[in-house]
Amino acid sequence: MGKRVIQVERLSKKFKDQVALKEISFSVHEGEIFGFLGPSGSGKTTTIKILTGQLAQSSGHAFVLDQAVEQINESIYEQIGIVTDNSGLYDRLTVYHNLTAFARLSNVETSRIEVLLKRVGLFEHRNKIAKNLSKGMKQRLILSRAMLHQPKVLFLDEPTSGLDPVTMEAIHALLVELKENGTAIFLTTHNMEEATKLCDRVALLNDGLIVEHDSPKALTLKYNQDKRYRILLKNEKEVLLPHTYDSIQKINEWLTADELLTIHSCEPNLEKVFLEVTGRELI
Amino acid sequence: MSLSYRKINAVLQLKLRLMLSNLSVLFPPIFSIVFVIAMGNLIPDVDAGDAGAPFSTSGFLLSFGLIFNIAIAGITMSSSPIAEEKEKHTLRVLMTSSVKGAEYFIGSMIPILFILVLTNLLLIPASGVSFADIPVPTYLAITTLCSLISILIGYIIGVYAKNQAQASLMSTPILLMLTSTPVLKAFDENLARFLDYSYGGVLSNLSDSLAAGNGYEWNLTDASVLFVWLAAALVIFIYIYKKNGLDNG
Repeated sequence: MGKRVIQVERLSKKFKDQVALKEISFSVHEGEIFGFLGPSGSGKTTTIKILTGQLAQSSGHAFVLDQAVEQINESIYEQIGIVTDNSGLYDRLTVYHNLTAFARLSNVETSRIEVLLKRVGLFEHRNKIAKNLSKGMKQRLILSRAMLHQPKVLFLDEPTSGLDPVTMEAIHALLVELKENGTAIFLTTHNMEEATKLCDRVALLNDGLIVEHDSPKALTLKYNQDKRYRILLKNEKEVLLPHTYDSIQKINEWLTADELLTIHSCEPNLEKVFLEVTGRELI
Repeated sequence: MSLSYRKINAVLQLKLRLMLSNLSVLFPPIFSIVFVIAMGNLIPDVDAGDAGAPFSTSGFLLSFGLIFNIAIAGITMSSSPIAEEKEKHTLRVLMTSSVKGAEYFIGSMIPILFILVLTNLLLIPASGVSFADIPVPTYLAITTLCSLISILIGYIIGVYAKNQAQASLMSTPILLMLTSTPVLKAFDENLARFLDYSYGGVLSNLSDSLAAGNGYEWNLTDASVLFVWLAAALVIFIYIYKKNGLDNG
């Protein structure tokens, strides 16, 4: 595991009478995609705002690149990238000019803009006015802007929400590439499939509390108490068998008689894990 | 606090590009020149003293153009872009991309101030006044200081307002007060004395002197009024900025 780049200790946030975060603790390391999963209103965006210095915590400590978030300054902003649903674009400027402004701010060679635009599939659209872009293109542009200065930590708040599968796939590939280059990615989502596919570790957040915290594989195995096998026979009959000695005997019989077409273990997905842990669905 | 020239320059270039992409921002200064030229062709050309005329046409037009440019253009050109950036969430992106508040304000202020000063100068020939008839350094000093005060008032409104509609609403009474200063001064002597202590009043005194064709003498009262207004606007701006932040939405 790489160097720790985010450290959160007993972090809490209260808004008047409402508790948004309840003493959450976790850490994120370089070259890791850390998923922060929970339904709407569970505290995901609040956490990102605190970690990026846009909101003060009520208690607890948080550090980004060894800097306390209360004292986050320009030198830290130069090393992080942020994508939230509030990340606006200059809609009267072209795709290219939306990025040149930030390239100048971060002292990045403008040649990198072309590289990035090609990577996210926006190079052909570089002279288009931002307001004329589709939602997926806008999201890719916002992501490009956050990656322009090659940040050490990338905060992504629901980056693929509402996007078509092709755009989503392109963004996923980009995130994996960033991770392989050592960028730590803090990703909030309520898309459990996305989290399972991308994240090295996830924290499940419910009502401001982290209720589970591990790799997606470890969590699904941990909650696979009611072990079952889904079997498809050659006569197209589907059978669900419990994990018992009798079931194994039965499977052996089908194998010997060459009647078995497919066999799958039925671990719960993260959505089911969340439902089991919290008793609520991820909506 | 150390400021980065590179970041100020980046904000400046961004602001210039945004202005060029939305020419309506340039409407007030352009309108002040066009209106002065148009009125100059409509109003009979009279010199101060001709047939008992208390002012010259060209001086009157210049005073009108100055008030329009400095008050309306100065305040709207500085308040509206901040409110727009808040509304469209681009200000937050800038502030979380290593730009300091001071770098943002300086980078934003330079193009606005340049346009205002240029317009103040262009208003001289547009109104038909000869450069030889006015004390150009004094004219430049007073109009530039007044422009700076207007920009700061615009910044206060921009920082305080949550969106463009609110910024417009907040600007309206201030603009009304500033643009009516010359008229109010003409109506009531007591009010005129009171208004002499406003920066609009000083601008009006300068305009009146130019309109009457008797020149303008830089005096301690007008200088003090301008510096006090500049200092007060700066203090209020810093206070509102510290209290509200640039984007606390």
